[in-house]
Amino acid sequence: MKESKWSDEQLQELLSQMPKIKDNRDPREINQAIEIKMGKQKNRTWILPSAAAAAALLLLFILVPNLMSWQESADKQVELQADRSTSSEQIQSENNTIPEAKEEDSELIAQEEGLEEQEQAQLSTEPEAETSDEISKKIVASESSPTAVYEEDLSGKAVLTYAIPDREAQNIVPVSVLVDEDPARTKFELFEDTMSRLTEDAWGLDDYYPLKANFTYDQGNRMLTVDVPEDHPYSMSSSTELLLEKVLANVMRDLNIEKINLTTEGNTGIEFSHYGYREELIPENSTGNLIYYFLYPNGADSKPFLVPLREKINSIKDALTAMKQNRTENNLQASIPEDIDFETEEIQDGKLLIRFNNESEIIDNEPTFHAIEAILLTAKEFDFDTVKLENADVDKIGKFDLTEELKVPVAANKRDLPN
Amino acid sequence: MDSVFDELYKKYHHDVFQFLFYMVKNKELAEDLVQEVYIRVLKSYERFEGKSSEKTWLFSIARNVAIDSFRKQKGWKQRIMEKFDWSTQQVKDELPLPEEIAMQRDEFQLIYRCLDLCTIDQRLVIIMRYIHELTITETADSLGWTESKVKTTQHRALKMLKKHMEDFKVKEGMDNEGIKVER
Repeated sequence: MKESKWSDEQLQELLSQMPKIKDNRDPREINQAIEIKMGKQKNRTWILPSAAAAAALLLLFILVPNLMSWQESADKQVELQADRSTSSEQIQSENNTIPEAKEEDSELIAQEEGLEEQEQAQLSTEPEAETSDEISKKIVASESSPTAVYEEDLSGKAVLTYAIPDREAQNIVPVSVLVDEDPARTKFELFEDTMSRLTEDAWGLDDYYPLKANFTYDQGNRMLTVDVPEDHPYSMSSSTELLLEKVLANVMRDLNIEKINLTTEGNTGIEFSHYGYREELIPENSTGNLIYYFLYPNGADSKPFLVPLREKINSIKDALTAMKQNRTENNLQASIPEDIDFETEEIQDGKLLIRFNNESEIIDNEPTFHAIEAILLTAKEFDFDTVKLENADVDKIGKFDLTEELKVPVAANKRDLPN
Repeated sequence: MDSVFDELYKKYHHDVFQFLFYMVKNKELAEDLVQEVYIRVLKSYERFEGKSSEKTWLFSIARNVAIDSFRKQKGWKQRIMEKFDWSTQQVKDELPLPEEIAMQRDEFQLIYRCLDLCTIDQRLVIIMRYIHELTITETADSLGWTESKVKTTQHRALKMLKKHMEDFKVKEGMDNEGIKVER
């Protein structure tokens, strides 16, 4: 090792004499620079968090509705797909009916082809409106037959209402049949017996009954046990499960059942593939009111089904207005023609007055008749007993005498059973 | 706030600036860093409880700012540059001497060069203890060390500095050739 050239003291001495370094800037300049920087930093401190907050809010807006309706949306997707396929089917069936209609009109035969093309163009944009036009043209002359069950039908008969899905599993149609009353049998027994006699196929609905399950009804506790076999078909998809639930809920409502126990071959509970294990079914308290729309499963010139949709509407006036709109998403059609306008008034408890405007054409034809039935059924859901129609162009529409108060129907969609 | 700035400026500006300059050896960078020191001081001035003296408090902030700046320099860019550009290592020490130093005697230039070769801790102690002539207590306070750590570090730092200076001399001597080789 070589010797140090510097001692510690020398080095310290040198260090203390190190040249002084000065900042030659003007203090004001420095102060300004600092203030600018601090201002910037302040800005930065709120810009970033607020941007993050905004992004988070945006995310929330996007996600929350999705999360809330997450279960619904799964079902809707299935429905939407079904809807798409049916609407194209529908257009096709309408295409078939158009030329027929035109042939009756000899003047138009020559232009038929051109017209048909035009019609088709219209069809693709507004298939629904076209159909209702079509109905009114076609059915004017035909006899108006009631679709619902009225009080006068009831002599010695019991009404059984079955909730039947339509072929697309989009709607639950309440179909009512009349059977002879039998004092020896309870209404539930009649319901169970009649299940196998329904002709859903002929009516244009899904062949859903008899249900593949055994029923035991405890009249005292108003408790129904539904026992399905191990290989029951109701858990095939979320929509079959949903359908079963809807159908059973309807059964409960019609037969005044309080609770349904679910069992599989005698063992408690049914294992659904999508909803999972369920032991019982208690209907949820649904809010809103049922509003009736038309369903034409057998083409536009057949007798319509009146299908209730549950809507959050609290006044009969709003309900009747809503009934003028087609419900494309459910494949349902407006039950009141768009060009009919009216005022509604509750005269007294349970009595509804509907006064048509002068421009509204209220004549005795089938569409008008069915519209009135739809109005009556909806009025019933709003707890009205009678409806009086005023300012119509005629005094009588089908079986309805407009000079009298019309009683609301007992049940919707009366269909006959084969003998 | 302005009055605080004025006061700090009058009392400590040149000390802080010089300290930073000897730490980073770059006038422009030191100018930026001294501003950063002011910003940190002004932000936390209310929190200054007077536990330590104002001077040591300022030095401790200046030290943090300097160390942060080293870290920033040693950021990812620097590391990548080092990997690909071998010339940086040679260029490093060739930063031009600031005129204040360049005009001085050889010894000062030598010290200035060799400061770099010490560790950061050693450099801190050398600058605080000998250039700024802080007491051991003040230094310990500024650095958040115990006094004994200051003592051992300053001892080791002087030794390192000396060694580097001698090495440097030897190298230079060999380069210039012919000037007194002791043996």
